[in-house]
Amino acid sequence: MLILLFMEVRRVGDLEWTVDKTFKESMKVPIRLFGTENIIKNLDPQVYEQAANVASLPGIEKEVILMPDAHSGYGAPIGTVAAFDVNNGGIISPGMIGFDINCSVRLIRTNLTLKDVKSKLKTVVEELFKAVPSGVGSESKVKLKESDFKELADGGARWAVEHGFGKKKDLERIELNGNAGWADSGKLSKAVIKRGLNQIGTLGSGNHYLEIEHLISTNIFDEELAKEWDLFDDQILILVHTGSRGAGHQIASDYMNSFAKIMKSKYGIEVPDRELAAVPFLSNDGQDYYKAMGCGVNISFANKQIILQRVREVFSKIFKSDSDSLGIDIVYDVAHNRATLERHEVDGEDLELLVHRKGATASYYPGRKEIPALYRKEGSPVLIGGSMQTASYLLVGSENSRQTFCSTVHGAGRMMSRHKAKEKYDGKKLKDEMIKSGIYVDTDSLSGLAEEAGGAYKDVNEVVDSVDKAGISKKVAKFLPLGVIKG
Amino acid sequence: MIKMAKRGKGYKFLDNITSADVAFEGRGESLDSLFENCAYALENVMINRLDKVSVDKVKKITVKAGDIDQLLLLFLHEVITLKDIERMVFSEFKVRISRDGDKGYMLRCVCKGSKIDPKLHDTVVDVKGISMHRLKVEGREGAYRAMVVVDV
Repeated sequence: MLILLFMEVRRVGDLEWTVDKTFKESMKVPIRLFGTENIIKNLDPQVYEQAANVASLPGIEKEVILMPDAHSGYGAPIGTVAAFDVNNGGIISPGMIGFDINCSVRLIRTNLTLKDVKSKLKTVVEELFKAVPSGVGSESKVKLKESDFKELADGGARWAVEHGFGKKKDLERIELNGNAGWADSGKLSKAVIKRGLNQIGTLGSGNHYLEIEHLISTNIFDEELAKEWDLFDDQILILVHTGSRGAGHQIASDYMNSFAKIMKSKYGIEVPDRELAAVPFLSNDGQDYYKAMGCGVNISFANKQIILQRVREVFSKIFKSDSDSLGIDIVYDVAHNRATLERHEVDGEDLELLVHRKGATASYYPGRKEIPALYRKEGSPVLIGGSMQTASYLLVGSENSRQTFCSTVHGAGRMMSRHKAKEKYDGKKLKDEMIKSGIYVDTDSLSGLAEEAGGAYKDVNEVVDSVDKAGISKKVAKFLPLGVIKG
Repeated sequence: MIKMAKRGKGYKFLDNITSADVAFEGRGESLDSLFENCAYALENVMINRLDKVSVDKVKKITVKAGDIDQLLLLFLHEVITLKDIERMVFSEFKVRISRDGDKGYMLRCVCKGSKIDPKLHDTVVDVKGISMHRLKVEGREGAYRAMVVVDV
C-alpha cells in the first residue's frame, strides 16, 4: 500500500492498484490503476483528483481505469478509460474524449532495409517535411470546397481513397475500416468546416510527428505474428501520429460549451469540473455530439490517408519505384481519443456501454467484432508511440483486456510540464544531439522540439512492460527512430 | 516570474497544474487588461518573442456571454479560431468589456498582428482548444486574475 497525499493507493495485484470511492464523496465507483510501484509513486497528484471527478459522473460502470502512462490533463487525466451504461442514464462527455478527436497512430510498413535507406535518410526526412505541412499555422495543400469537406467528414478514409488518397486495400487495415458509420456532417457548425478546410492533410505540432523507424530481430517479441503482419528483421517503417486537426478541436469546443450551458437545466446533471460537461448519451443532444464526433473520427482517418499518399509519393520519387513494389502499406491505424459504443460484461451482466478513452488505446482480445476482419483471429493491433528519442511499440490485444473495457496505454506519458521542459532543454542542442545519436530530425520549431525531449516523458519500456505483464496487450515488436519530423 | 506584457500586469506559466497541456495565470488591474494579458499568454504558448510579430493586419472580435468566465473562454477561443482559419498571430490586443443589459457581458477586441510565417516567427506549439478546467476569473478592480488551461 502507498500512502500518497493522505490517500490510500492499495495494491491489489503485481501491477494493479486501487483507490476506494471514499477518496471523494461524489465518487460512484473506485479508481483502478495499472503500473509498477515506480510508476504509481511518481503519478502527479492532479491525476487522482481528475480521476475522482470522472468517477463521479452519471451512469459510470464498475471503475475508472488509469493506465501506466496516465498524467494530468484537463477534465480527465490522459490515460483514462471510463465506461457508461447508456441504458441506465450513462452520459457522453466531450471533455472525456479531448479536443483532438480520434488522435491516432498509424504504422506503415515498407520492403526497404536500413542499407537501402541509410545514405538517403536525410533526403527522405527533408522531402517528407516539405510534402506534409506541419507546425503552428500550417496550411493545407489540398483545396476542397465546403461541400467536399462535408462528404469527407461523412466518408472518412473511404472518401479519401475514392478521391485518390490511398488504395482500397488500406481500408482493411484501419480500425472501423476508416469510417465511423454513425457520423453525420449535418451536426457540424460552419466554424468546424472552416477550421477543417484549412488544415486537412497537415500534421500539427506538439507531440504529433512523422517518424522513420527501424526494426531489428532482437526487438521482435512475437515472431509468428510479426511475420503474419509483414514485418521482418532490418525493416524500415513509418509512424504517423496526428488527429482530426482544427475541425475536431472545433467540434469538441462547440459541444463542450453547449453541454456546459444545458446539462443542469435540461438534464439535472451536475459535474465536479465543468470540463467534464456531459449529457445522457441517448438524449438528442448526446446523439448530436456522437454524430459530430463520428465526423471527427472520419476527418482524422482521411487526414492520415492524405499523409500516407504523400509518404508513398516521396518514397517512390526517392527510391525510383512505385509504392506497391516498395511495399508501402498500412500495418494498422488505431485511435486513443474517442468514445465508442461497445458491449462488455460487468459483474456477469452483458451491458451496452459507451467507452470513453482519453489517451488510451482500444486493445480487443481475439474474436471481438470491433476488430477488422484481417486481424480478428489474433486480437487487435495496438500502436504505442514513444517519445521522439525512444522506442515505439506494436502490441496485440489479449485476454486480460476484459478487465479494462478492452483498453490499454497510448504512449510513454509525459512526466514534465512543457514549460519546465523548455527551461531544461535547449532545442538546438537537442537537435544536434539527436543527429549525433543517429536520429535525423527536421522541425518547424526548436522550442517545440525542446518541449518534446525524451527526458520529459516516462520510460516507455516500463509503461509497455506493465500492460504486457498484466496480460492486457502483449508485445509484438519494438521500433527505434531513425528520422523525426516534428511540427 | 511574471512576464510583463505591453499593458497590464502580465502573466505567468504554471508548472504544477497539468503535465500534458499548458496552464497560465493572467493578471490585470481591470477586466480589460486581464483579458488582454490572457490573450498575450495564449499567443505566447504558440509563438516566442511576440515583439517580433509585426502589426500589419487588424481583426476585430466581438463575443457575448452570460458570465465573465464564459466570456474569457469565448474570447480566447476566437483568438485560436483566427489562428486556424486565417493563420493570424497577434501582438497587440485592445479589449473593451461592457455589461450587455441584464444578459451578462459583451467584449469587443481590436487585435493587431500578421499572418504566421515560420521564417519570421519563432513558433512553438499549436493550441487546440481552451478548456473549462479550473477556468476562473477572480478579484476586484485593481487586482484581477484568471487561470486558464489550454490543450496543445
